[in-house]
Amino acid sequence: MIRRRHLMLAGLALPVAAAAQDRNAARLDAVRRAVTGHIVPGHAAFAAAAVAFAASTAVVADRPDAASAEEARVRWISTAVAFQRIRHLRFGPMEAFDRGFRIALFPDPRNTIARDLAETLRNADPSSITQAAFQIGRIPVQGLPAAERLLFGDQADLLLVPGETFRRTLLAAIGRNLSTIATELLQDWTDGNQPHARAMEGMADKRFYRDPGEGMLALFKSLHGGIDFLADRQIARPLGPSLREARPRSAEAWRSVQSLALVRAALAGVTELHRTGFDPILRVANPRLAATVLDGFATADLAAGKIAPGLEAAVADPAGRQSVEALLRALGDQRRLLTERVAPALGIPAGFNAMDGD
Amino acid sequence: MAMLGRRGALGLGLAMLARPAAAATQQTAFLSACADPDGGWRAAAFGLDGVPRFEQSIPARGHGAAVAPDGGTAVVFGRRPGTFALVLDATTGRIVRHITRATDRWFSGHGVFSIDGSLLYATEIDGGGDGVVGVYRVGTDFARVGEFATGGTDPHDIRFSPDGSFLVVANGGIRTDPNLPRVRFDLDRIDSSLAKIDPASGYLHALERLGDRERLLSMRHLAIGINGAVFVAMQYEGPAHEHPSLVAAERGGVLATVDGDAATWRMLDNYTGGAAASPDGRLIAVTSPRGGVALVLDAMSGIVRTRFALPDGSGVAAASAGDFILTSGLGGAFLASHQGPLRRLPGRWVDRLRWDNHLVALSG
Repeated sequence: MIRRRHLMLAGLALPVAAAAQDRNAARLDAVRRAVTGHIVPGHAAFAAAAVAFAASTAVVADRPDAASAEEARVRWISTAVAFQRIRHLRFGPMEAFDRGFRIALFPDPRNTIARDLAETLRNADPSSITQAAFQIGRIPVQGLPAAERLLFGDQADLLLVPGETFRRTLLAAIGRNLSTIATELLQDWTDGNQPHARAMEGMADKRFYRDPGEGMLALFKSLHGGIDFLADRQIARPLGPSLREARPRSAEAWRSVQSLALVRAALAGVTELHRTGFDPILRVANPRLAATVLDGFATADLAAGKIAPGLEAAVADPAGRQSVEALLRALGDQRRLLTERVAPALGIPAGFNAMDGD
Repeated sequence: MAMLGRRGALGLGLAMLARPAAAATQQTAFLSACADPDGGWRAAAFGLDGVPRFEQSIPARGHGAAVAPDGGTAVVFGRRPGTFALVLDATTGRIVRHITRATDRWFSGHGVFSIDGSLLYATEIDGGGDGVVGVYRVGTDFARVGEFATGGTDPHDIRFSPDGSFLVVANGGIRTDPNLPRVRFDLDRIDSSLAKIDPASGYLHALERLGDRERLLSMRHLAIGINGAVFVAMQYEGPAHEHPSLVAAERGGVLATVDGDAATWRMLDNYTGGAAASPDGRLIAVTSPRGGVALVLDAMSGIVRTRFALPDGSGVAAASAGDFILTSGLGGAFLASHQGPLRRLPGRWVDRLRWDNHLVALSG
């Protein structure tokens, strides 16, 4: 009798184990697609942009003239845009050594960038801007926002003033720093015996993820968190609750007037993460829901495309505000769709209390 | 939608003295908004045995609930910006009244009955995002008989002080616009406050804020501890690498954050979902669905007594002396006893529902 019961249990367990194995295989596939289709190319593009930016800032330091400064501005924009496409991946390599904050401290509610930048320029101490100093602190002055101030801010003209050598040295130090961090990020994902790309699979290397489901959960949180950050911090913050309370100068890159470009790049980044990682498995689990989610991203992209001429101008204009609000509505719809429908459909343990609570 | 004058004054009678909350018994049921496996929105109740008391379909995602002092009625509020509040028969779950939002007012997700059960107070916002308490006469129609200002934006949880003399409201202080649901403006200019309001006149007795260094904390959920201390569970909207205390206590007009070691606050991931006090007010439970952890604090000392790991755990209600019931948005309800590990309530029904932010005890 006992023997028979054991057999029956084994019989039941087999399909369950097979289903779990299938699910694991699908999740492994999702993680691999996201890594190869989104994460690695995104980090490679950021590293390439940052290396080019570093080279351009070195030229400004060596040969300060209008052309070299303009080249550095162009390279700053491409680096900032490239970062937006991967900024939502704030775990693992980006989390390590505070790299995410060191690349872009935003928002900065205590205005530390202005304060620390002024102090750094006033003291003009070369030892305060070495790579070693940047590694252990001085986060506000070592990233893209500080470089933006030097290149596009009120005092950008000072960059070419002969006596302002330290200002140019600082810009070049930031360029080198960003290039180093971006290169390290890419290496962490791809190089060595234990690249994070492999760890995310949760198979052979189980240091950070015990199974592919945990890797997928980290990616899902990045997707949702990226949309959250985009809506609340990058868009709603400058929009303000009314025209009177619009704060164009709270936009992420108002000095370079690139805030809209950054918003669109961030949207493209999260869309790509979804399209490469989640869409293929969602199409299997629930084709109609998969189509709805893709439509939602297309709606958001369309809404972003209608904001003109830039985010800074649009939030301060009644018609412009409507276009910005349309984008916020589209992002809100996506956020709800992901939390309330996609996560349960894919069996992702990302609950609606954590993802969208009060 | 009923039309109301702004900040209508009320001529309400004095509230009766509060009664201490009763400890849960085997007959006690727990009510929460939830979602079924198909994504349908529900209000559902279960007992300590995990057996369903009811499962009621509701029109959209719910949030908190208020229970009448006699235990016969419960009101489930729509999630902010909410368009409805549903009056349920607390035994059967049958919807006996659908309260629609007033013109230019949206429910904020929480409410509380007056001590004598004759009035229902609900936190709401107006079209500009300013906070009001809507006052509803309990009866067949639940008519909205007035409102008063909360003194801040983004009002959320609301409780009575133990002696019934004040309504306590947590003004989250985050600017919102009901026409852009769930969008949060000005996260670096939060103006959160704890309001003490006269329940009869609407007079704002006190508006307490934390210090300047803690201005990026949003006060959201409340639990009343021993000796009338008001415990506040908060969220932090400042830089993600900072991990301040997320619990404050107000005693005798002084509001201050509860000390604790940094490692504890780091566990909460700068977010709390719910708060509840034990029946004797000596223990305060705070949940963090993002951190996947629940803390039980000693109300007198503020010291963390116990920690429980629970992914997406948010709903929390007192069960019996020192014990709490926790629910998870991933399904399941759990008994958190100070004597041992989390114990999952039995039955498949309670596991198949995804439990939303808040849990309240219905009297047995």
